[in-house]
Amino acid sequence: MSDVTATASSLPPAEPIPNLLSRAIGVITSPGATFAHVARVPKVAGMLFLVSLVLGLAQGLPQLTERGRAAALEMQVQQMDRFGVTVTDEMYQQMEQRSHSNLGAYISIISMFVAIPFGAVIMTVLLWVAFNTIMRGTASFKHVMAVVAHSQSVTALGALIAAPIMYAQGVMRATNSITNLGALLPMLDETSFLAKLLGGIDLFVIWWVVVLAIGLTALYRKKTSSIATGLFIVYGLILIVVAYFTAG
Amino acid sequence: MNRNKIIIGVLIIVVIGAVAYANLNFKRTTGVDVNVEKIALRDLEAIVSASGKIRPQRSVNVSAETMGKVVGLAVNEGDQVQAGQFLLQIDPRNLQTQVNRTGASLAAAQSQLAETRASVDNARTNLKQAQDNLERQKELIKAGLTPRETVDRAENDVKLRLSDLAQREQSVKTQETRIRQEEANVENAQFDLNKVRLVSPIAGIVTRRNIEEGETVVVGTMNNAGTVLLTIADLSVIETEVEVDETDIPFINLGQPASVTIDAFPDKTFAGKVTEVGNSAIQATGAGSATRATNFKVVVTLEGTVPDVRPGFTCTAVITTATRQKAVSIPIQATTVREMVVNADGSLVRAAPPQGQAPSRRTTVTAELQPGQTRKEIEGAFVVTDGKAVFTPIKSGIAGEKFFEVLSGLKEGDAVITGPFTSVRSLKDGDAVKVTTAFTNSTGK
Repeated sequence: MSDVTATASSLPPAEPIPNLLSRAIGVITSPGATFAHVARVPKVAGMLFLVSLVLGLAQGLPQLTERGRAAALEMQVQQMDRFGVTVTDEMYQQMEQRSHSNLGAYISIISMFVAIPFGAVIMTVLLWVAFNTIMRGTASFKHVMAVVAHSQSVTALGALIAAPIMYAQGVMRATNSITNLGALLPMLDETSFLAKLLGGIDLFVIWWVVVLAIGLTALYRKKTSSIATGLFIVYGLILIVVAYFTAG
Repeated sequence: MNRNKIIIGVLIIVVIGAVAYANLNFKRTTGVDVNVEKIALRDLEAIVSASGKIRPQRSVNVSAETMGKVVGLAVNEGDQVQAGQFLLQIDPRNLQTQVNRTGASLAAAQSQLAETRASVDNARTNLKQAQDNLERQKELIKAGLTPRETVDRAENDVKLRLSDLAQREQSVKTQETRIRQEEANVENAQFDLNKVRLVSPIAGIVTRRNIEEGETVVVGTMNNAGTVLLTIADLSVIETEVEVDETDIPFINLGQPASVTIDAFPDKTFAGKVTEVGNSAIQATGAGSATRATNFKVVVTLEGTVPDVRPGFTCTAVITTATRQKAVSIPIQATTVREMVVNADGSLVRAAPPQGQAPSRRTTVTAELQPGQTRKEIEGAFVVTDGKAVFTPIKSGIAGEKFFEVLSGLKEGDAVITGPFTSVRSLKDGDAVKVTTAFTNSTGK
């Protein structure tokens, strides 16, 4: 904490702190400079609220329309099928009746205000422990959480782009992903290991990892490429394990 | 620096755009794995299969009409016999005695008749004498030569003789009746005597012999199979009696061709024709008869002779109830029944998704009904169209061994889903499917 304060105090005092929206856009357009500000003055709540709001609206607003509700219902049925639950006609009728209300949309929006902060905390704990323990870093938990929260701007951007496209297509996906590499080899069986692996690789996630590495660089004064490589290795391992266990 | 940022930004946008486009347009087929077969024209035969037993068309059970010990047996099982040929002899002594006794009784009766007839002649002579005496006494009383008492006595004598004559004549009639009775007894005894010699009523083969020489036979009764001594079967015409399920019996008609496979000769089939169709269900007896399927008797008469056949052989008759040449046919396993929503005019209501929206898998079933619409179970098949299983109602005709005739709904070349069974059973109209096997055309009827 003291080191970070010293680092922050070494920055030119005249430079103003960008506002919330500027920081969110800055993470997209100029992540290095933006994370330098975040490292100097770590702000968490506003960015988490903004990201949660964007993701919640991207997920929930379509469900306020008939088309969005039908897509959500279909996604729900597909997920149940995937988990081996046989959806009978009676069950489907009940689900269909429930989908006529806007409750699902509100639940989707509200759930993001729980899921995003919770996910950010988990991610922060993992990163903070890893960098402070293994790499002997000195960044505070709040600084790491601020970086994680700001890096979610990329995720929010992905949702903003994907939501209207998927709404127009009349489909809905749990991950809001339309930029995974699974579509590059459509000839593969969707249950195959390779298809699962490629399906897990999303361009916005890659972008998010890069941005996160830049943010962590601002905190820990390490090479961005080294941090990014480490994060990509972890990401790759997670993808391989998930693909291995979900492949048919 | 700004220029580099712009280039990087443009590259990012291009890459993300390209991948997003690929995701949205090059969708991987996520449908159910299905096998597909193309509709083809085939020659079809509707058949009804039933099992039963072989039997001769004509068979006679020979039973004894009189009781006695068998003293002569001329045939064995499998022997060929002619009509009228001697089969067995029952001890005749008892019945021969009866014949002799009744004959003697007849002779005695005839002798007694002769005696009675002689006495009638005597009575007539006596009457004549009495009448002559009366005439003389009447002449004498006119002349006053005899008293009135003598005339009266002569008149009474005439009456007495008349009565005696009538009695004798009645005795003759009685005796004649008795003789007829005795003659009948003799004839009856002779008839009984003839029963001890059994001859074959038809030409055929002795298919069963239940008696041995020296055994005592009892009088045969209709419901007692144990009293059957011999069975003579005419094996020149063989037929099979099979039991046909009630659901098939409306399609069975006289004269329909059939092929019969006898279990004892598995490599041969015999041609035949339906010659009898039962009108009443076979009465099941015993335990479980209430739950047993209702069957009807159908007789198939085989054409030509069947060498080495034995009555009682089990067999299977395949009756051809209808045939079609070059009929549009669909594999039986491809047909299924689904509850669908239909309009008042009977047309199917397909779930048209909103513009740009993926079709829901159960919309046609679960959607709320519009006025005039009803839910109805419809027979049909799933046709693969643009990677989707489209439920297509069909009107089926005759059922072959592997295929149904399709009267309407499908045409030659349509790709119908034939399996796997679980897929056909669970498919919904509009489900995405993935063809896992190449198009095949089954063979058969």
